[in-house]
Amino acid sequence: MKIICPKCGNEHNVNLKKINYARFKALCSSCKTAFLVSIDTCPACGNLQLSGQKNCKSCQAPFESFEKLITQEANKEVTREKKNLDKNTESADPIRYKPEFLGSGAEYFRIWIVNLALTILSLGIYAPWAKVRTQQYFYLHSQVAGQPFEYLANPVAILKGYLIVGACLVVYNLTNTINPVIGAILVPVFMVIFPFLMYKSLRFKAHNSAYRNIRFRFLGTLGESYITFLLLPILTPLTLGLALPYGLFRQKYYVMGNFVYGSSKNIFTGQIGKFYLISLMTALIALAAIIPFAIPLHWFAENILPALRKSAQPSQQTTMMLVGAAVIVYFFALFLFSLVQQYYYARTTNYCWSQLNMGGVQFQSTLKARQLIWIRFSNILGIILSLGLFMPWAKVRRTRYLLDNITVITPRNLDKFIAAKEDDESAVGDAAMDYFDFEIGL
Amino acid sequence: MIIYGTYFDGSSSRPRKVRLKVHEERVECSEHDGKTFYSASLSHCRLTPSLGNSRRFLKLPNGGRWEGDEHAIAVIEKKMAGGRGMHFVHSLEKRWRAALTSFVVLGIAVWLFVDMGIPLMAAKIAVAVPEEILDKVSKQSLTMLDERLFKPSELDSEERENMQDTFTALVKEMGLGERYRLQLRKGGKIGANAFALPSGTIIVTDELIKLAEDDRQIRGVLVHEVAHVQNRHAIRHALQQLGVFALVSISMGDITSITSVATTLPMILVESGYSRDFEREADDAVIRYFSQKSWNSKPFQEILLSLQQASGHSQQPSFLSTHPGIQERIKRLKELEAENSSTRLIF
Repeated sequence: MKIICPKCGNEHNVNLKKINYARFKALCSSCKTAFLVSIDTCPACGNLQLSGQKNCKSCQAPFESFEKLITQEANKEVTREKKNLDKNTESADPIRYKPEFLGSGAEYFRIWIVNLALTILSLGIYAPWAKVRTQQYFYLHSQVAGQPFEYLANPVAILKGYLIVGACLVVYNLTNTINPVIGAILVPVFMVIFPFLMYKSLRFKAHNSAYRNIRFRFLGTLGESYITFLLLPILTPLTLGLALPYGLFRQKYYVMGNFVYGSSKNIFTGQIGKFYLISLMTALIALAAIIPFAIPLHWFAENILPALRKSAQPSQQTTMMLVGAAVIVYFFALFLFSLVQQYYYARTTNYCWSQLNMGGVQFQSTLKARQLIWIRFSNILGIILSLGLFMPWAKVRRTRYLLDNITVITPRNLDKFIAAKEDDESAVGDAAMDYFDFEIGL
Repeated sequence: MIIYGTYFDGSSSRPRKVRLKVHEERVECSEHDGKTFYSASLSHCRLTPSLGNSRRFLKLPNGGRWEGDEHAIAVIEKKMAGGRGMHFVHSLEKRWRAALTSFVVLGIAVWLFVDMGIPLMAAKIAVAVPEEILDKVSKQSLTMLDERLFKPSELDSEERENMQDTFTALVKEMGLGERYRLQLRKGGKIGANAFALPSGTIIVTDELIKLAEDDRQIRGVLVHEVAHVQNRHAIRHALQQLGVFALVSISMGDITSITSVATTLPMILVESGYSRDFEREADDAVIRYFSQKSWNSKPFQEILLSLQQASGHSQQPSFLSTHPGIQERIKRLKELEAENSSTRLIF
C-alpha cells in the first residue's frame, strides 16, 4: 500500500497487514515529518487500506471512513471536556442534549400493517412479537447524545401477561353481559388488582428499557402503588373531587420519582400546590369552552327535539338532520376532551420534568398546550377519516413533537452512569420475572 | 477480518471504541492498544433483528453490546449461521407491495371474522353451555329485573288465564318442552314490551297485552321471543360481543387501548349489526309459524306498528339501532311471505 507524505509528497510502501493498529503515526523517511495514518477495513472484502477513500481499492465497494468519524467524534468530546475542565467544574456550563426522533411515518406504517396482519392471521398469538417490534422501532429511533434507546422485552413474557389479563377480561365481559349483578361485583375485585398490575407493569417497562446498554429500573413499592392507585381514587369522590389533583400528583410522583437509570438516584421536587393550580386552570378552560356550545345545544334540545319527536313519521330529512347533529356533538365532545386532557398533560409534564433530577441529569420540557391539542385532535380526525390507516403517522407525529421539546441538561457528558449491581435484589431479582406491559398514559 | 465500532460493556454508560476481529466461529474484542480483552464464540452472540433502517447491535455473552455501521453488521451477519429471527418479517416490512397486501389481507380477514368466524364460533360454543347455567343466570336476571324495572301484573285473573292458555296452546303446537314458561309483569317505565330469558321464561308486559287487538298478534310476539330462546340468542350475543372485543384489542396490540374513542364506534356498529341479525332470525320464525297455520303475517306487522307508535320514539336510522327499523322489518316480512306463498303454489 502506498502512503504519500503530506509534506514532501514522497511515496512510501507500507505492508498494511503487519500493522495492528487502526491509526498510527508514520515518519517520512525523506523529510522526517511525522504524520497520522489511519486504515480502514473494507466491510465487503475485508481488505485493509488507507482511510479517506470513497471506494475500496480491491473490490470497489463504497465505504465511508469509519475511523475518521470516530476520531472526529472523539476530538469533539475531548474539546468539550476540556472546555468544561478549564472553567471551574462547579460553575461549568452544563451540556445540553436535544433528543431526536428519527423514525418516519411511512416506514412505521409498513412495519405496523405487516405485523398487524400477521397478528390477525395467527389468531393473536403473534401479538407480543408485533408489540416488541413496533415498540422497538420507537425506542431505536429515539436518540439522546447520538445513542438510541433499546426495548429488551421478551415476547414470550408479554404473551404470558396478555393471556392472564385477557382471561380476566373474558370472565368480566361474559359475566357482565349475562348477568350485570355479578359483573358489578367483579369491578371492585379488578380495582384491587389494578395497583398490582400497575406496579408490575412499571417494573417491566423500566427493566426492559435500556440506554447505552444500561437498563432502567423502577424502585417504587407495591404499598405505594396501592396508596396511589387504590386509596386515593377511592378518597376522590368522598372529598367531592378535592383530592383529585393530589391523586394525580401522587401518580406522577410515583412514576417519575422511581424510574431510575442504572444505579442513579432520582430526586423529584414537584409540589402539590402547583398541581392544584394547574387543575384549577384546566377546570376554568373546560368551563369557558363548554359554555358557548352548551347554550345552542340546550336551545336545540328544548325547542327542536320535542317537535321532532312528536311527528310520528319523521321524514328522511329530519333523520339525517338528527344524525348530523349527533356527529357535530360527537366531534365537539372529542375536541373538548382533547383540549382539557392535552392542556393538563402539557402543563403537568413540563412541570414534572423540570422538577426531576436523575443522578445529576436534569430536564427541560417546553410542550405547548395549543400544539398538543392540535396534534391530538387532528390525529383523531385523521384516524377516523382514514379508517385507522393514519394511526402510524399519528403516533410518529406525536412522539416527534414530545421528544423535540425535551432537553437533557447534564453537568458532564453522559458517560458516568453505572449499572445496578447484579446482586441488588430489588434491581434485577424478580423484575426479570415480570411480564406485564401496558401503555400507561401518565 | 477486522471491523470497528462502539462498545458498551453493560456496566458503564461510557462508550468505548472497540475493534472486532471476526474469525470463522469466534469474535475477539480489542481496544486500540491491540490487546484482546474479550473473546466469544459467534454462536453465543446474538445480532439484533433488522427493523426498518434502525441501528443494529451485536449482543455478546458477557452482556456487552457492540455496534458498527451497516457494512460491519453485514460482515457479521454473513458469518452467523442462517438468517435468524425476524428476517422474513423484515423483508415484508421493507416493501410497499407487501404493506398493501397486508392491508387487503387484513381487511378480508377482519370481514371474515366479523361476518362468519365469530358468529359461527359463538353458535358452536352456545350449544355446549349446559342448561343448568342458563337457568341459574335467568333466575338471577329475573330477580334483578323485578327489583329494578317491573311491578307485579295488574291484569285481572281472566285476562291472565287467557294469556296462559294461549301460551300453553302455543307450546303444545310448536312441540316445545316444559322449559318454556310465561311470566306476566307490569312494564312501568319500559311500557309495552316482551323479553325472553335464556332458560325459556318469557316475560310479557301488561301494556303489550292491552295493545294487542287479537290472539294472533300476541302469538306473533310470543313466537318471536320463543325463537330467541330456541336459538340461544342471548348467550350467542354475549359470546359474539366478546369475540369483537377480542378482535379489537388484539389488533390494537394492547388490551388497555380498548377505551380509546376510535375503537368504540366500530364496535357498537358491529354489535348492533349482530343483534339485528338475531331479530331477523326471530322474525323468520314468526313467518314460518304463521305460514304453517296458513295465516297472513299481517297481525304481526300490525303489532310491530302499534309497538312503534306506543313507544313514541322517533325512528332511528337502522345502522345505529339494535333492532332493524320497523318499516324495514315489515318490508322483510312481506317479502318473505311472498316467497313462501309462491313456493306453496308450486308444490
